[in-house]
Amino acid sequence: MKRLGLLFLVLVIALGGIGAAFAAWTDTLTITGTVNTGSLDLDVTGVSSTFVYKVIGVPDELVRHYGPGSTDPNPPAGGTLIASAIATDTSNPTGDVDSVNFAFDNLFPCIAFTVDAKFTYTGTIPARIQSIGLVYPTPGQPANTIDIDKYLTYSVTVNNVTQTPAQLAGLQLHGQEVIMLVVTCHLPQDNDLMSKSATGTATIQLIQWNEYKP
Amino acid sequence: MGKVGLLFLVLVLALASVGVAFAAWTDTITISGSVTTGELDWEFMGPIIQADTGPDQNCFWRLEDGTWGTAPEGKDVGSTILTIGAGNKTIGLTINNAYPYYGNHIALKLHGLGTIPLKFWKLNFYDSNGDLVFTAYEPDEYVYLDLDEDGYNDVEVWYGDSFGDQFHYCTKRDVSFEILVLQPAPQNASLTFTMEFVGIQWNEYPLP
Repeated sequence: MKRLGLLFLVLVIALGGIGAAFAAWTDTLTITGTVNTGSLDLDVTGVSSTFVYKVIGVPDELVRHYGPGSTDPNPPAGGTLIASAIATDTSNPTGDVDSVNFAFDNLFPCIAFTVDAKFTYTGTIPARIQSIGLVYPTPGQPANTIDIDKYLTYSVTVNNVTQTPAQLAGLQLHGQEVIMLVVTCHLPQDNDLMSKSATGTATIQLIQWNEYKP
Repeated sequence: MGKVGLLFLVLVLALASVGVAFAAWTDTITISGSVTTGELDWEFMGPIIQADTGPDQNCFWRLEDGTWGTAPEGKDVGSTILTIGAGNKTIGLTINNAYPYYGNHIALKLHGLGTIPLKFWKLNFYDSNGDLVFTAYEPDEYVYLDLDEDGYNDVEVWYGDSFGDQFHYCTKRDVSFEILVLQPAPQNASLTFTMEFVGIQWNEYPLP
């Protein structure tokens, strides 16, 4: 009983000591930090498509419309849509994923099927093109695939200045600068190209300019 | 009856003696106490100096052993604004248009104001929710802060010196710290944190 009492006394004294330490006067100074981060973002801001119609009564009975959008706002009266090259903005609504789909359908020789996509850099910090990757043909394509790349021509401009592939590597982008990609497919007169198909994917990867490694 | 009379007599005598005590002469000495307490007080003092005076400063990849240098091409993309609040008790630090590996080195002074000595005890770090995430008691601490609580650190802070330094009235000490934005920081976000400098009366400063 005496030992228990002694222990109790020691505990009381110890707690009292802690209480005194916690009760010390203090004064505080505060730094409140706010980090507002910027962004790196390339958005799809426009596409154009080509529509080819058969129209009785016009030269060659053929009408070609190439213009902005994924649909033809003014199809010819009495025309029958024969072939098309349609560009579609497939970006997700939040803009986190930016993508474009080019679909060439029922092509035939001697017509320029052209699509284009306009990309606008909307980031607030500078970016550079780290890489442009082309996966073609898509793995697992059917046997009737053609090497469509032979018949495609590409044109890239940045702020209306034509850029070669070599110039695109590491190209720096600032706010509201525009990349315009124009792709045209023109098939030659070759019967072997009938009833063929092809798919591929091109990826443009940007990186913040201060971490770019050639 | 004789015993009862004797008891009565004794009681009367006893009461009489008490009456004598109450009636005794007295004299009083008074001690009046007055305690005037001191004040424990310090403040931030400018000017605040920072490394970002134009072209950004970048540090790859961390503060511990990273390489500092001017951002590529000398670009001025991010900026840091520092303001001392009323009473010199707070500093607002705002980094705008920050990006991974934007860094800054910031220097200022701590200044003693109180009438009793104060020692710089500890530095508390709070995240965006006001949760205490780290307390530094010694110099050269590297503190990683996950400010958006996504499991990845967004900002790193290094604090240099002056723990245990004593501040008398008008004592001043240069202090500095570094801040680095890390790769996992989210884009288009506003991330906040708080650094709380705690001073304690010199005689209760616990040795780290």
